[in-house]
Amino acid sequence: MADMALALVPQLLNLIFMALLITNLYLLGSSRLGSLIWTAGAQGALLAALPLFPQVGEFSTHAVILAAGSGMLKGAVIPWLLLWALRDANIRRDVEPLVGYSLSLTFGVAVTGLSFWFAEKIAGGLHAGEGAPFVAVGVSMALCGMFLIASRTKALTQVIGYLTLENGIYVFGVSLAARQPFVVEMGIFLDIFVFIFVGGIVMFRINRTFDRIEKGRAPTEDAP
Amino acid sequence: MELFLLALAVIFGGGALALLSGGGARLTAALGAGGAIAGCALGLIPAVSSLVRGERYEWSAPWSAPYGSLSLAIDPLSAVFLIIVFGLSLTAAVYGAGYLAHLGGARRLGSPWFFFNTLVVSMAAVTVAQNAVLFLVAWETMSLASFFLVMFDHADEETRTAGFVYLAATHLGAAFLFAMFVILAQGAGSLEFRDFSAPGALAGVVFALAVVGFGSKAGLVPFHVWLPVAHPAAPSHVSALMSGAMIKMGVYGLLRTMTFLEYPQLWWGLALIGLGALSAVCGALWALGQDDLKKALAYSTVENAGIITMGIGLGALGASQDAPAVAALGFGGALFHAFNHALFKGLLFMNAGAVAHATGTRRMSLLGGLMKKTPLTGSLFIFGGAAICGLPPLNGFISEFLIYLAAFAGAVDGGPVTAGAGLAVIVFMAVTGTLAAAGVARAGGAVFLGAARSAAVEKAHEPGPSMLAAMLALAVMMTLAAALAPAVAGLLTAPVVELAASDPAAVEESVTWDCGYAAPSARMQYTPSSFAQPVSDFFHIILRPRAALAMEDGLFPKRTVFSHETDDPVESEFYRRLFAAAARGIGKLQAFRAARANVYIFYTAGALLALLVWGLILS
Repeated sequence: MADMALALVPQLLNLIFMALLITNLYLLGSSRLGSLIWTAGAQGALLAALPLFPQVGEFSTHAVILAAGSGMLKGAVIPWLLLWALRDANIRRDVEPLVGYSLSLTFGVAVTGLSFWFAEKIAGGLHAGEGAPFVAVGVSMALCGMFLIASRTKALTQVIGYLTLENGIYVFGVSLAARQPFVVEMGIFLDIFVFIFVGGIVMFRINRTFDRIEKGRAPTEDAP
Repeated sequence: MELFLLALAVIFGGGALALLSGGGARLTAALGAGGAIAGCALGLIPAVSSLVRGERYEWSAPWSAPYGSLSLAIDPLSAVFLIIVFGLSLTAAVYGAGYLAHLGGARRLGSPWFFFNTLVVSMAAVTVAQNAVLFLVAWETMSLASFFLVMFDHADEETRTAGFVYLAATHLGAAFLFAMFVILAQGAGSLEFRDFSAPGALAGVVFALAVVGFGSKAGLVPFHVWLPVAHPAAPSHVSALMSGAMIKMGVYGLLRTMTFLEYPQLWWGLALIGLGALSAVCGALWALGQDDLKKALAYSTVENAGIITMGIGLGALGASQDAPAVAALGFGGALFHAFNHALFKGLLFMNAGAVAHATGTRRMSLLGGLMKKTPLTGSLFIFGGAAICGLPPLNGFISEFLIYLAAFAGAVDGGPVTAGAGLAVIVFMAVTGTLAAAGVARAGGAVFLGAARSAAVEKAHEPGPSMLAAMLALAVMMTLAAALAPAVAGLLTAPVVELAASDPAAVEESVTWDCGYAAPSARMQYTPSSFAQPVSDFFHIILRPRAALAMEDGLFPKRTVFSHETDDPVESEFYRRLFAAAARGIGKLQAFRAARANVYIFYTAGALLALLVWGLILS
C-alpha cells in the first residue's frame, strides 16, 4: 500500500504542475476580479504543497513549516485581503485591458511552451535533473505575471499579476531550496511587498487604476 | 605608503569635518583648508621620495566591489603627477582660505571645502590606482567633486549651464574609458593594471579610446568645449586646481595606458602630434578672442595641453621609430611641461581671481591700469605670463625647449617620417609660442597697463595675505623649477634675480607719452579687441571673428560703436550639429513613448525576455 502511494507521488507532482499552469492561463483569460482572486488563492494553496515532495528535498520540519507558512499566506491571508479590498473598492471587472483576453491567452500558451524550452536549456546548469519541470512552471508563471502587470489597468489585477510573478519565483526557488535558502527568503519579502500593495488599495480606495505617469496627453483610454 | 594613506585620510577628514562643522566660517575654513594643507604636505613626502629614488611603493587590500581591489602603487610616473596634485592643492588651499573668506557670512562654506578636499583625494587616488575599477571610481569621484565646485555659484544661470556642459562632457569622456578598460580586461582576464598587456590587434582601438576619453579631460581640441565654460564659472582657486592639476589627470591616463600597450605604433605618435598641434594653435588663437580674463586663461590651458600632447606624440614617435633621444626628450619635455604648466597656470588663475576680487569684473574691456593699484598682483601676472609664453629664463622655456630639442633631434637624425613630424612640431610650436605671447601681452596690457576703462578699477586693492602668499609661493616654485633644471638655465636665472633687486628709486615718474595730445582719456587706448584684431583677422579662416562697426556720417561723428567677437567654431558648429543630429535620431524613439507605467514594464520585461532567449540560443 505504502509502495503504491510512493509510486503515485510523481504523478501527484505532475498533477499539481498541470493545475498551476491551468490557473495561470485562467488568470490571463478572465476579467472577473472575484474569480481572479479565487484562482490566485488556489494557485497559492497548490504551491504550498510543493516543499513536501521528495523531489524538492528531505522531508523535514523546515519543509513542513515552509509549506504551512506559505499555504497560510498565499492560500488564505492574501486572497482574503484582496477580497476585502475588492468589496471595499466596489468594482467587479477589469474591463479595460490594454491587451485583449484572447490575445493574452495566446501569449500564455506561447510563453508556457517557451518556458519548457528554457527549462531544458538551463536545468543542466542547475545540477537538478528533476528540477526541470519546476523551472519550466516557475518561469512560465513569472512571465505570465509580468504580462498581467503590463497589460492590465486595474490596480487589483496588477496586484494579482504581481502575486503570480512572485509565485513563479517561489516555484523556481523551492526546487533550489536546499542549496539556496536565500531565494525562498526573498519570496517571503516579496509577499510583504504584496501586503503593502493591498494595504495601499484599501487605504486609498484605488477603485479604478493606478494613476497615469505622464501629464499633458489627452486621457483617451481612461475616460469613464 | 602608509604616509600617503595617512595624507589622504587627513585631507578627506578635514573636508568631512568642515562639512559637518556647520558653525563659523573661520572654523570651517580652518578645518577644510588646514586638512588640505597638512595632508598635501604629508603626501608630498612619499611622492618626492619615489621620484628621487626611482622606487615603487605598493599597498593593497581586498575590496568588496566586483572585480575591484584596493591596490595602490606610487611609481615615478605617478609621483610626477602626485607632486603636481599635492603641490598645487596646497597653494590652492592657502589661496582659497583667503578667497572664500569674504563670503563667510553670506554662504556656508562647508560643502565647497568638502568637495575641494574630495577632489584632491580623488586626483591623488587616480594617480596611484592600480585596479581599473578603483581607477574609474576615483575618476568619477574627481569629475563629480569638480562638478559641484563648478556649481559653487549655482544661483547664476550661466554657471548652471556651464555645470551641465561640464557634467555631460565628463561623462561622455568616461564612457570611452569604460569601453577601453573592458577591452583591456578581456585580454588580461582581470582588471588589475599589472595584468594588462598589449591586446594585439585591438591595441589601436584601445589607444584611440584612450585618446578620446583622456583627451576630453585634458582639453584637447575638439574635446575641449567644456573647458572654457567650466573654468570661468568655478571659484578661482578651483579653476587653478582644475586647470593646473585635474587636466593633467588626462595626460597621466594617456601615459599610463601607453605603458599597458608596450609597443607604440607609428600612427599613434603622428595622431598625437596632429591633435596636439591643433589644440595648441587653436587654443592660443581662441584665447586672443576672449574678453573674459578667465576664459582666455582657459583657452590657454587648451593650448598648453596641446604642447604637452605634442611632446608625448614625439615621445611615442621616437619609441616606435627606435630613436631613443627623441623619445626621452619628448616624454621628458611633456612631463616637465605638465609640471610647469601646473605652476604658472595656477598662478595666473589665482591672479585672475585676485583681479576679479579687487574689481568685481573679469571683463578685460572694463579693466586697465591696475598696475598702479595692485603692483604686486600685476607683477606676478607678468611673471606668470612670461613663463607661459616660454620666455627664457623661466620654467616654461625649459620644458618647451626640451620639446623643441626632441623635435630637432627627430628632424636631424630621424628617418623621413620622424624628420617630417619633427619639422612640423617645430613650426607649430613656434606659431603657438608667438600667439601665446600675443595673448599674454594683450591680457596683461589690457588689465594692468594703460588707464582705467571703468570705475571698477578705482576701488581696486591688493588681495589678502593668504592669497598673495599662495601666488608668491607659486612664483618661487617656478623660479626654483627653472633654477634647478639644467645648469644652463640656472646660470641664466641669476642675472634676472639680480636685476629685479635693482633700486626702484632710480626710475623717474612722468606722464605716459601722449602723442602731443594733452588730454588723453582711457577711451583712446588700445582695447583688448583692437589689440587682437590684426592677428584674428589674419586667421579669420579658422577664427571667423564677428566684427561690427557702426559709424555716424557727418563731419564730426560723435558716436562710433565697434565690437569684435570670436566664437569657438568647435562648440558653435561641430557639437551643435552633432547634438542636433543626435536629437533627431533620438526623436524617432518618441513613437515608443507611452503614457502608462504598464507599457514601460512591458518594454523592460520584453527586453529581458529577449536577452534570455538570445543568451540561451548562444549557449
